[in-house]
Amino acid sequence: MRIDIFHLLRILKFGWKNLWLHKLRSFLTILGIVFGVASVISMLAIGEGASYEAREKIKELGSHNIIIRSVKPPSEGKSQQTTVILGVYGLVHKDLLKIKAIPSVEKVIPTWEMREEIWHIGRRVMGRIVGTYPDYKEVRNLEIEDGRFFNEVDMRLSRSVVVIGSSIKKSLFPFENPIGKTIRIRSNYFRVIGVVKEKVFSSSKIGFEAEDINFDVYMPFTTERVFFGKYETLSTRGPVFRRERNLVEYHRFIVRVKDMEKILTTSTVIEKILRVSHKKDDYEILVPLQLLRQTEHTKRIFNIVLGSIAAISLLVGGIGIMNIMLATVTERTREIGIRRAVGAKRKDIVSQFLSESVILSALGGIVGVILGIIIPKLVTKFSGMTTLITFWSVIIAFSISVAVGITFGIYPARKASLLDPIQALRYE
Amino acid sequence: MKEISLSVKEGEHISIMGPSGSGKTTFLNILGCLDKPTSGKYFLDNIEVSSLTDDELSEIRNKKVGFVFQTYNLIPQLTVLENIGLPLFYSGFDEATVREKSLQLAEIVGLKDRINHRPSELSGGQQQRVAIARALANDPVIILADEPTGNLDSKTGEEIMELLVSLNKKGRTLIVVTHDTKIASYGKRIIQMLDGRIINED
Repeated sequence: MRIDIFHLLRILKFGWKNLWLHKLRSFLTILGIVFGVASVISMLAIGEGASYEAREKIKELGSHNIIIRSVKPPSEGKSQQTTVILGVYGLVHKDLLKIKAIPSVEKVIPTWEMREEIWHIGRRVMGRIVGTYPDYKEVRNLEIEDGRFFNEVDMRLSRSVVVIGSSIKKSLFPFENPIGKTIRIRSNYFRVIGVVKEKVFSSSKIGFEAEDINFDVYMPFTTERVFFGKYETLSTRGPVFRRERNLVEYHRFIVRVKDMEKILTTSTVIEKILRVSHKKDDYEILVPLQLLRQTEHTKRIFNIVLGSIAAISLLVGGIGIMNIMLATVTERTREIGIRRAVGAKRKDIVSQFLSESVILSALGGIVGVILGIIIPKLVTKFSGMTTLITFWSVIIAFSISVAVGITFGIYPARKASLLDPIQALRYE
Repeated sequence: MKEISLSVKEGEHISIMGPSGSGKTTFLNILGCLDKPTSGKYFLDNIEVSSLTDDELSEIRNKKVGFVFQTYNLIPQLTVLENIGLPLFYSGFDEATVREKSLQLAEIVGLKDRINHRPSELSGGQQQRVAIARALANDPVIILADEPTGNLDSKTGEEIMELLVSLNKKGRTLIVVTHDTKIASYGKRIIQMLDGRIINED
């Protein structure tokens, strides 16, 4: 066969013309490929988006860290009658000392947290108050947008200063610079000395960290103790209104480990230490690094599952093309005979029919790519899920669709070319 | 078909007659290189055809043979011009040449004003003219016509025969298969076939 552009273009033009004669049929045929390609791209985009979110979240937690959190054990009391419960749970100062004594531990940053309304003149926003140490900024990779984080001196003097998250700033100080202004929590006033740069908040719950840290207000641990103490108050609305007051010394330890390789062993040691002193299950250990590995593992499984689903739909699409092409060959037997009589070689017939199936699949591929780019955008818009369309997923999906066209087009095309010209000419 | 020995000179006009089933179409298919004889030899333009491959046969059909069929055998989705140009396309001419030559051929058969019509929009006689133009496309050494007037009324049939005869007068070998004595009488040599044999030749 003469491989020149003109010849190829004529073949493609003729193929296109034939497909255009049967618009509806061609359209229905490519639907299989369209959905196959669109599902490959959008599923990969959703999967990629989810793992991107997870990676960001884990990065935010810090891959060098182990996080231990106090967990309220299920209450054993006869809750029906009791309206006020006084309990004690969670991490205590002894735990802090023991963990600090582990050789591989670089430092331990404790926090005490509570959800509370934060006021500025007439404005109000719900946020999380975090009493902690100056090193918190470093272990959580917080970046300061404006002002400064509190320091050792603020700690020692228990100064009434706070550093606010970007969402708090937006809610309370939409039009002004918050630095130097005061905010009110309960009946206490605090001066804003810094603003933390906005962090991407992902809705997916990784481990137990589902807090939007942009709504955090940080203050020196000592200041927190002075104004709010160790008691947390929980109110539950339900059939019975309940109010709980619990003594919690620390809500969270952020343990920074010297060597990344020792993270897992250190977490095992911590687990053993805590198990000895805690009778109840009132703590939780989170290892971001381990989560990262789990996420990668999940992602791999996810991709395999999605890949197989997509492969099946492309296979179905390919079979659809083959089916239609076989019908077309039968329908146009006479035409094949005529072409052979005027001098078409077998290769010419093959390329004619193959071009039609390739046009079908490529067209399906293009429409599929467009759809595959739109769908993740809609998913993001309506569900808030992060999606990430990778360049490669588009390229791969499209190439597979063309490959499907070739694979499933070869058999009908070959069948057409092997027809006996005389019989084909006689075909009614 | 048995024991056929026939030689045709360049520029001859031969009519082949015989009842249906007498093997005339098979004979014509062999002459047109659509079919190969199971035994025996066939020389076309000094080429021994029976030993050629499928691709080589295709090329001979393309360059040396022009077919005219009873049922015209045009491709319905193509225009008149595209149908005429089909053999040229398979010879590998570029688009401009194909168009130019096809236009000339359309003029020869008197269909210049119908080049963008589809076969279904033409009368039987016009369709057969398109088929003749297509047969002429690559300037073949031989034109093979299988009942070219079989689907036409006698007046149109005569016109078609006159067109074929005029081509023959210009030096093209013409072989017409028919069972119509009137059509056969146009030929300078008439061959009678029965049961795969030539029974009469004059």
